[in-house]
Amino acid sequence: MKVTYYPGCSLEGTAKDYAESILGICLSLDIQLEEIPDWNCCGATAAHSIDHRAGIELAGRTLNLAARLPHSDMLVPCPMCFNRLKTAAWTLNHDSSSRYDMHLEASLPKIWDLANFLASDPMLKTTAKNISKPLEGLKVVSYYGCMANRPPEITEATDFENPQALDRIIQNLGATAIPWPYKTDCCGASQVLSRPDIVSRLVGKLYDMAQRVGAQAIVVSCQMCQANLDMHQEKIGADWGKRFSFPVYYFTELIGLAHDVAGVEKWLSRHITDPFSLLKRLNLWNSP
Amino acid sequence: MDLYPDEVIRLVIIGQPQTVLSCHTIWVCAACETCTTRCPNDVKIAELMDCLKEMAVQKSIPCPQPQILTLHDGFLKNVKRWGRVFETTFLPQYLLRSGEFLRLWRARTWRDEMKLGWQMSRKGRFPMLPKTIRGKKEVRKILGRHKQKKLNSPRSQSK
Ligand code: SF4
Repeated sequence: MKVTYYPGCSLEGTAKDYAESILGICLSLDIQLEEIPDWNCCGATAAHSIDHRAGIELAGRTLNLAARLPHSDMLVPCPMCFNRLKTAAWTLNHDSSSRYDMHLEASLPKIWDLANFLASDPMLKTTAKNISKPLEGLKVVSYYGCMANRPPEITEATDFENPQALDRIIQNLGATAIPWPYKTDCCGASQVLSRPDIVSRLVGKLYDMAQRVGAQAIVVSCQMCQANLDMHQEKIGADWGKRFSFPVYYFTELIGLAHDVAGVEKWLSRHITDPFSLLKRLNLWNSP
Repeated sequence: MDLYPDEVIRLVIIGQPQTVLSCHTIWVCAACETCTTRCPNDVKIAELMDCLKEMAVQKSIPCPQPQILTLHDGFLKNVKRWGRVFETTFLPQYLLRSGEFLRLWRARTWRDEMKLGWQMSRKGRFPMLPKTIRGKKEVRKILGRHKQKKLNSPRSQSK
């Protein structure tokens, strides 16, 4: 299967682990990714905060480039990019002529959040077929964050208050996804540089609940959530007077692990909070 | 947040732009879209917060959370430069421009931050070279419509 691919800026930098794991599992799932030629930054929080028109048109430019590729599906791993592209597509289709210097091509591909795409029935089947090492014994909570699901008019999510995509993928791999109430509660990633105090409160609340429901790890599909939950556990634990040590895995890394794809060790070694000890304890890691 | 989101909406309705445009709330809002999603009256609260931030910047109203504005401004400058964001220069530039590094220095926690940065680069998460694009000119045009404002801001406070 061939699809259009928009990696987004952070997958070229700090989220290299996410990017590599996606390439790794797409090989094993027989998905060929064609990157949009010359794509630009979606503008992210900065553009929609202080320059609305630029936010729409930056994403619009990339959409028009995507329209030139022949594929009907476009995969977007970063929920922020996904959200901005969907917002631009919606906005430019509703009131373009009057307010924006841009018209959208008619032949846009369907814009997919990567996790939702891989949680569709046919993809779950393909994933299940290739499992060589079921992730038995691994108990996790899935954490979706804000941008893949909200607001639902834009994202077209139907289960936005209790999304299931990651849970389905996790269960499919043989691991357990524990139900919990904070799947879509904000981790404050957009304020991590400017207001770390707010982030400590929001993320601490997530760790605390994950601990209470008995999770061993947190599984995410967003590189901003991943960084935010992975990087400051010691400090946030100190603020809360507790000790937290949750590996924060990308769902793609878990698929790679279950498929025994080459490179898992390299992806995981880019994390800050130790991702290996838990896997070793559960006999899911035979170090190469 | 110095005003609750519903107070922001109310003040807009009764016509008190001065109060809302200079409040902390519009900047502290994390744009999580929870309120927009759940509002029973379909008020686009998060979108309104964005609109107010943009108005405040355009009217040069001093930002009560200057480091947040510096962050957004630095991000867009970086995009303008390369067409994509290059985190390897964006992050340290932010720390210096926002005065955040100075704050860390004074609080004697800058070493922790440096250690994390060092760890990240050892783990290959800060590439050496930016990936620039051919369509930079188009990107610059899109981002060039607003006149660049000089950021003037009072001391930051926690609210
Ligand atoms: S978007 Fe989130 S942080 Fe902002 S006002 Fe709404 S609920 Fe609060």
